[in-house]
Formats: sequence, C-alpha cells, structure tokens
Amino acid sequence: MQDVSKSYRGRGHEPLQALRGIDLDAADGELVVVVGPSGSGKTTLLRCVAGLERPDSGRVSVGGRDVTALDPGDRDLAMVFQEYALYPHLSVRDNISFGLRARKIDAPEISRKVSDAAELLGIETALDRRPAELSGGERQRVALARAIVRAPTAFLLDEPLSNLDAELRAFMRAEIRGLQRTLGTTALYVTHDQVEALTMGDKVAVLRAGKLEQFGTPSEIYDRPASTFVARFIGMPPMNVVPVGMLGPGDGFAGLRPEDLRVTPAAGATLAGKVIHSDSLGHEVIVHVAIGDEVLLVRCTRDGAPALHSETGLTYNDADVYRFGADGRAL
Amino acid sequence: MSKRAGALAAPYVFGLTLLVGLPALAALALAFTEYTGIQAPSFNGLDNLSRMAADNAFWRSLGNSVIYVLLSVPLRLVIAIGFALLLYRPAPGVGAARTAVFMPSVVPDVAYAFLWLWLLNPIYGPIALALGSASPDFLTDPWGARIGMALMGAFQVGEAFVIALAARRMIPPSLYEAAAVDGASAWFTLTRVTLPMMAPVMALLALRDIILSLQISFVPALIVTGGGPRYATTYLPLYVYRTAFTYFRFGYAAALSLSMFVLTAVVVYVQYRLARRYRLI
Repeated sequence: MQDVSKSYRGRGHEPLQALRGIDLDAADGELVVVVGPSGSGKTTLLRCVAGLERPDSGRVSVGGRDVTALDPGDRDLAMVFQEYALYPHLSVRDNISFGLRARKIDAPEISRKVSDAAELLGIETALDRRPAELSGGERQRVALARAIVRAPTAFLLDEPLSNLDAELRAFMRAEIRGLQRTLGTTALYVTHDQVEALTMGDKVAVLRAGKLEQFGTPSEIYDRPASTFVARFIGMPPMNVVPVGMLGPGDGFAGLRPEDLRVTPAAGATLAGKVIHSDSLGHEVIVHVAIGDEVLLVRCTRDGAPALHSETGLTYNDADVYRFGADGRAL
Repeated sequence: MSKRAGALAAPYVFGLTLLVGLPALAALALAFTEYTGIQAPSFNGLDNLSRMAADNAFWRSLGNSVIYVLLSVPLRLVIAIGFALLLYRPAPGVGAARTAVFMPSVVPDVAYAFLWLWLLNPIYGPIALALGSASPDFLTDPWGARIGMALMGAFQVGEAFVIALAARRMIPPSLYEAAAVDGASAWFTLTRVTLPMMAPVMALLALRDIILSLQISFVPALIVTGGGPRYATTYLPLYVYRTAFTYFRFGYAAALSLSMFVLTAVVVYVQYRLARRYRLI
C-alpha cells in the first residue's frame, strides 16, 4: 500500500478519516499483522486491499500489479471474514468450492481441490454438512479452506479468531501460522489482540486513529516501540509510561516494563508508593503501585509481592528505561 | 396463555367468533340445506354436494380460478421480488420508489377496478388508443380477459413487496462481500446466494398469494368483466356470489364456498409445514 487514505462521510457528522497516508508492504510469503484498538482503521485497511472499499487516494498493489481500480474479484485475493460469512444454505463442500464454481473451473478439478483443502484442514467428514451443524472451530476451518482452495496471491484475514473461545483461539493461532508457512502464501492479518500480533506476525503494523504508528518485526515493536502509544499497547501487562520528571530531571516520558521493576524497602527508595491493587496470575502477581498521580504495574513472583495497602519502594536499571519525547515519539 | 395475554386477546377473539366463526358455522350448516331466503332452510342431506359434482358451471369457475392463480401468482411474485431486489438499498429516490410500488395496494378495490375498466376499454381505453389494432382484446376475448385480470392483480403487490424487501435485507452483507472477493458475477451471486437465501420466504409468499388469489378475483370479475366474456372470468367467488344473491340459492352457495374452504385449508396446511421446516414460525 502506498500513501492510502480513506474517509467516510457520515450524515451530519464531520468526515471520519479512517486511514491517513498508510504505507505498508508485505514481502512474498510474509504474514503481516495489522493490530490496533477498535476504530483504528485496521478493518478499513484490509477492506481497501480487498477492494471492498475504494481508497480516496493512494495505490494498492498485489504481486507487483496495481489493483487500486480493480473489482475485488479481479485482485486474486482470498478473504476470511470475522463472522466467517459461510453460506448457510450450502453444504461445506459447496461453500469451499463457491469461488471455484464462480470462476467456472472444471468439476473434476474442483472436486480434487476441495478434497485437498478439506484434508489439509481435517474437515473431510464435514463436507456434506451445513454450516449450522458445525462447531465454531469447524466453521473457522471451512472459512480457511474456502480461502486456500483458490490458491490466491495473498490471504486477507479479518479478526478470524475473535469468535472462538480462549483455548481454541490459541490452538487456531498456531494452526493458521503453520498453514500459512506451509503454503508460503503472503497474508495480511487484522486483529485487536497484541498477543496474536506478536506470536503470528513476521511483521507487525500498529495502527492508531488511521495512522501507521509503527511497522516492524515483533521484536522491533516490543524492544523499540516508536511511541508511547505502541509501548502501552504492546506487552502484557503493558509498559508503564510516566513523565520523565518522576525518575529525574528532563522533559518527555519514560517507559518501564513491569518486569524491569523490582520491589525494595520503602525507606530511602527513589520511587516509593502504596500498593493499591494486585492481580494474582497464579505463578506471578501484577502489583499496582500508586506514586503521586501515577500508577505503576510491577510484575512480582508470588513470594516477592508486597502486601496490599503496604508502602513499597521500586528500583530499576537505567538501561531498561525507554525514553520518549514530549510528543510521545521515541528518542 | 397467561391471564393478561388472554385479556388482551379477548376483544379480537370476541370479534373473530362473532363475525367469522359463527357465520362460518352457519354456512357449514346451510351447506346441507335448501334455502331460498323465503322459506325456512330445509335439510336435504348431501344433495348440494352431488349437485356440485354434476354442475358444469362449478367446475368451470373452479378451473377459471385455477387459471387465475397460475397466471397471477408467478407474475405477482416476480414483480414483488424484482422490486424488492431493485429497491432494498438506501439511495436517493428509493423511499419514493418504494412508496410508489406499495401505492396501488392501498387504493380501494372498487376504485381500482373502475380505473382498470377504463384502462382496458377497447374503444377509449389508453391501452387500446396507444396500441391501436395491436392491442389485445382485454374485455371481448376470453384469454384476453383472463390476461387482463392477471395484469390488474400484478400491481397490487405491496405486502409481498414489503416482505420480500425485509427478507432481502436480512441477508448478511458479508455473504456478498465474500462472493465479490471470490469473483462471483452478479448473476452467479443472484442465483447462488440471493434467491436460495430468500427461497423459504418466497415459498411462503407464493402460498399466501395462492390463497389471496382465490379471493381477490371477486371485485375485478364483478366490476370489470362481469364474469365474461363467455364465463371466462367467472371465478369461484363470483359464482358463489351469484348463486346466493342473484339466484337466491343460499344452501347451494354455502356448499360451493365449502369447496373454497377446502382448497384454502390445503394450501394453509402446506404453508404451515413449510414454515415449520424452515423455522419461520
């Protein structure tokens, strides 16, 4: 995508700028995850690539071919929708073969391709059933089979795991990643879940209010967040971002990951505050420490966590501090 | 049913019993009598039914009604669904267009019939004037009249149009987006997605329209064609009406209307099974 912008005109509202000058590029065979909070424009971005939305300006290319003006069907892309968009009146077999039949492929070839795709996803036994008779995970697989059966230039996936329960989601995450690697097909994957972004993406694009906040590998995003927004959005629990003044002289913001903070006795500590809340995760505890107007999250072991409502000191290594300017950009 | 629901339904149930239930029961009883309106009804067993079986005029009017259904129901459905597919999307002017499609359905039947009496008139009607000698003989030729009646019904599709519109709008847009990304043509999408998704509703509409068509042929036949030419548009309701109110054979007319009741009951039963099967009720 080159410099793609898109705005919507709502009735009686200011035009809503959904995308502002997005530059994004996926190398052949890469899985690029677009991540951002709701309303950040990530689905609009995907729909612009799919051709379901026309960008106001900019260019979309697929496999080196400018497709900006082409209809969705002429872009050689396959899309997996958030609600799967399976045809309820068609059998699984007919759902998977829909795109092939629309393109008037020969029946024997369709049947072979459908069998292959069904085998790859382990849904051979479900081929004659209707979507309503399938579990959520099976529907997800049918949606994936429908995409891969066409052997497109690229896959577009719009929050494909958001309707699955947590256990199945973790499983399908690995499965989709494995499938994409096996097929070697470029994929654009949209999600609001930063865990999916970090675990699945070759590259991650962080979107905020229609602007590309940062684009890089998962480790770049995690280790060198380009802004306080990325720093707060990526990581579980997220990075603490506080005014630099809290740690020493200077302007702007400082970032400290909860795992880089250590608990010390309150007396004589540079940072000291009161424990106002703690979340036990079993093997570890996330402690919320109020210092002035700020609340810092600290990741502690089960035994090392200070008691609720107690005063505690915090310490850190200077090397672990992320520094951001007054505008929120990384220094 | 709770007490409250019962209380709320009571006025309707009362009206239904008084205005429909009791007359229907009376008609059922009347069907086994000889009754002219002058003397008291006298029981005559199954005479009316055996007379019906041998009555050519009855079979002919039943046949006419069936022809009316066959001509008018497909035409009305195609028009209602066609307009629904054309006008389901919000766009400038669509609201006015939807109103226009519905409008003929709110015109009182008799006024509508007089309008068509003028439209179809072979001498000064606008269709005859526009087409000249190429104009079909709507009022003078039996098949011309049958087609004219079907045409007349083709514009009063407001309710079917609204139902089809709702059915079309219930199809999730993502199905169309999936089809677009898959490269499906408009025709492929219409025949493989839209129509199959609307099929259960269309089937119910068809059955409902069959029932309706058995009844609504009355006013046009009475006013526009008078049942002619050569009895070509003497439909069952008109025949029942004439038997009762022109020839004062109320007992026999009641027996004739029983045949309409049986026909309707069969269609309603099929409709019910279909609705159950597609979980529409």
